[in-house]
Amino acid sequence: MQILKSLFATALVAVLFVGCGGGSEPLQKTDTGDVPDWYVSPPSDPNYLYAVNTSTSKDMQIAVDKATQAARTELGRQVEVKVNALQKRFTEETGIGDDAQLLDQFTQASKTVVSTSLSGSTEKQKKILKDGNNWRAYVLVGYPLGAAQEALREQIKKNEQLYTKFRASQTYKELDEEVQKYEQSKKGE
Amino acid sequence: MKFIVLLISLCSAALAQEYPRWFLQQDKLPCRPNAVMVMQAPSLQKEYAVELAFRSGCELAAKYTAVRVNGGQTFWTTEAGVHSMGAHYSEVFDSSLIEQYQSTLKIIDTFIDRNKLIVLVGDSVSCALDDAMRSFVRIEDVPQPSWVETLPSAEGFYFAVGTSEEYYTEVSSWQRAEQNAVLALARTTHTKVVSVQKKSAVESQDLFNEEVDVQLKSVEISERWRDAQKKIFYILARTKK
Repeated sequence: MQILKSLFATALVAVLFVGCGGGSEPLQKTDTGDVPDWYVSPPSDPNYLYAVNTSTSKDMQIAVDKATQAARTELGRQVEVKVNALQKRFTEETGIGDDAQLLDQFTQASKTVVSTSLSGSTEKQKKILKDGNNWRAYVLVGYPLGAAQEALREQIKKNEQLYTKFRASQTYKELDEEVQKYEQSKKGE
Repeated sequence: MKFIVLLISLCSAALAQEYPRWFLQQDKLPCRPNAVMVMQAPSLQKEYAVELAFRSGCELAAKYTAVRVNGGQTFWTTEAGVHSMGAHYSEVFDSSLIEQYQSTLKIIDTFIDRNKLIVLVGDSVSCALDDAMRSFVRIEDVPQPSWVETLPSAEGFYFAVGTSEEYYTEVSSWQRAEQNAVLALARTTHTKVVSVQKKSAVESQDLFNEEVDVQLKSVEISERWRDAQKKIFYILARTKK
């Protein structure tokens, strides 16, 4: 009986040691081998905007759609940042900050571009994996910056008063050059 | 032992999926317009099934000549994940072209196995197939094409890949992948993205919506591939910019 008691005590101590000490096995195994490189390090190009996203679903197409649409939304935000920067430069250069009507017109033009137009945003890369019982989709969506600039220029052109004011500025010249470069690259594709 | 090996090899040969090359590489066909229609294998009256596939192929050719894609979908992101709030899409095309194609296009080739009937529809003069295009390809022997993960580019075209997991039958899986390819082309051509974000110290929500209303012209199915291991169907499509 004494032997049994000491054996039980030894076993209890051993179990406690193992439990408290922690094993060498990680608590949760994470298999990152299938994560595409372009998801971890998206490409960078001064003429392109890129956004990556990943999503899961029991339905494969919904996983792809979720990831792609979220990436496109991110692209929309990136365009917004670019347009806002351009608006700030334009405001500073032309001093239209004092002209509330013109400023409002420009803001409206910018908002239209940001919330509506993504023409030519392509799924550059896509990878679909089985993730347990779900499907996991990784996507990389690209959008030519020139397309956004072109859309902005066309919006501004629709407003004659704004266009007249904007056309004389250095910011417009730079925008126009960028758009022309984009149009050339489209022809040369 | 030899009997078991023979039995296994016979079973794997019977289960292997074969496709005509023109089905997998539709962009190599020498004629435009063309259409490939995939339907359930006929149990009776093969001629009637082929005729029905021809008519459906002409409808597909009419749709791909010019189709207006309209619709959208919404997702809602919370800490719990991304939830689909619904999707609706419709396609409108000139149905008068169907009759025209039924009188000008012909059945170029047919393929039937136990699961499906595939009919190639095209112009009988310019769509003459050589032996290479008529040959059969075991899908297990085709390595993953590069376009499955990396989208190709070519002057004057938008490309998109449509995918489908095994969706009830092989036929419905191919049809779903093709449908998804056309939708992906529409989204590439023009998408209106609207997003409303709400952030506070304790929660973050994002409601994002996409709307599509575009006219696609000269849609072409370029290639098909099936990942036999992962059971995924891929279709590469393109449209003129």
